[in-house]
Amino acid sequence: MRALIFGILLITTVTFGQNKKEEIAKFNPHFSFGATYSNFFGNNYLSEGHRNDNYGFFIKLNAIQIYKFNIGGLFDKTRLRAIDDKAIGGNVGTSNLNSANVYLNYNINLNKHFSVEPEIKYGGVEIRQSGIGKNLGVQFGELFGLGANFNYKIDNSLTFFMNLNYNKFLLKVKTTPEFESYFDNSNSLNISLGIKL
Amino acid sequence: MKKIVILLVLMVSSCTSEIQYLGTEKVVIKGKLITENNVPIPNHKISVNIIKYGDSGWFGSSYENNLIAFGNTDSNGNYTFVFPKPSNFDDIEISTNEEDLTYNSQKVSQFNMDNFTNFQFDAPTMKIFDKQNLTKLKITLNQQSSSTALKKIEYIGQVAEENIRINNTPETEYNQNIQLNKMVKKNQTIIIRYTKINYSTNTTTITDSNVIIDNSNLVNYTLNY
Repeated sequence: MRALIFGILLITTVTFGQNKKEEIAKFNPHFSFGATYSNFFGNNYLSEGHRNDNYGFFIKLNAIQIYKFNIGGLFDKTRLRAIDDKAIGGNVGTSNLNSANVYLNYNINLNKHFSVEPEIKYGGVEIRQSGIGKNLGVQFGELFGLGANFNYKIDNSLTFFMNLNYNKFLLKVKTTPEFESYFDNSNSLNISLGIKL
Repeated sequence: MKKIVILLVLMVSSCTSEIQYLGTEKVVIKGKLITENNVPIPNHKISVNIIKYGDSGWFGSSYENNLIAFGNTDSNGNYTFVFPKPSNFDDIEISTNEEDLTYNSQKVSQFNMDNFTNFQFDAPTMKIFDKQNLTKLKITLNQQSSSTALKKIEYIGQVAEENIRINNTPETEYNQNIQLNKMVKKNQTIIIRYTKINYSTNTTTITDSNVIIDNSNLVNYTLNY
């Protein structure tokens, strides 16, 4: 995570030191926000131990543009409600999945209004569990994402977009070999609707 | 200002004395539930509680009892629970549904993380009895000599153990050794094996007594020692 932030700073420093006329890289700050619906799948705790009505929100800050590549940061928070079976996983009420990512996407303009941005992302994730009126621990891990933004540009200051995305979660856990794979990973398909300013 | 700081420190220390859970470690409890005839009991509710005993303090009692997991036995009477690893607690307790109308209740108690091996605790098999088949055996002690003392009473037969303690403390060990009320199965002969010490001769003797348990709901027995 720190290496990625350092990388972004390095690219910014190096490229802005060059001749501006080439416009290899430029600050292209855009703030986006919106809502996400996530569907977790596979034989794992986030999928099997939770109801699949997981809604969240995200904020996204595009930082720099290099050619048609955009680099920025994304914070996402999703709330998962645990299922009624409290045997495997414990008496958990809700799990809050928070992630902080760095993304890279490539802008393909289709016409004056429409554009598509294939996107990859990487970041850290934490799962904060609560139930029986108290904190039931935090699990940490990594997130790899692959998806695309479908943008509809109103004008230079307002764009509506939809994001379709697949996330792979690799989570740290210590348990018996029987349950390790149940708790150490997950997958989700996500659809987001948002506004870019 | 100093008082506020002291108050804040006390509040923080009071908060940290709660039971805590570690999300990065998941512990596993496995066990089996059977009837008095050794038949597995399917679909029977089992609960796991994490307990912290404590004294009353400035901010109330620090006693805490967390129902950390519950569920039903499978078709073979087996149960499995997985939950975040607890810390800062005294005991873990596994119990059958105490409000069950058919079977008597039973629990496995007084164990902690030291009893887990590689994140797993294999609980002793819990045997529960049909309540209709149980009767209460009540023992009355009759000390015949001031130089003798009773050390232990064992019940050999079909006995409904209500509490299987894993780590006995001296106090609970004494209570377990001298149990004067037992739920036992009707229509059988129970052997009461008692150990007594004679302090004048410094000898220990073990004696067996047969007690016939009939179909009544209460059986009284006087143990002379």
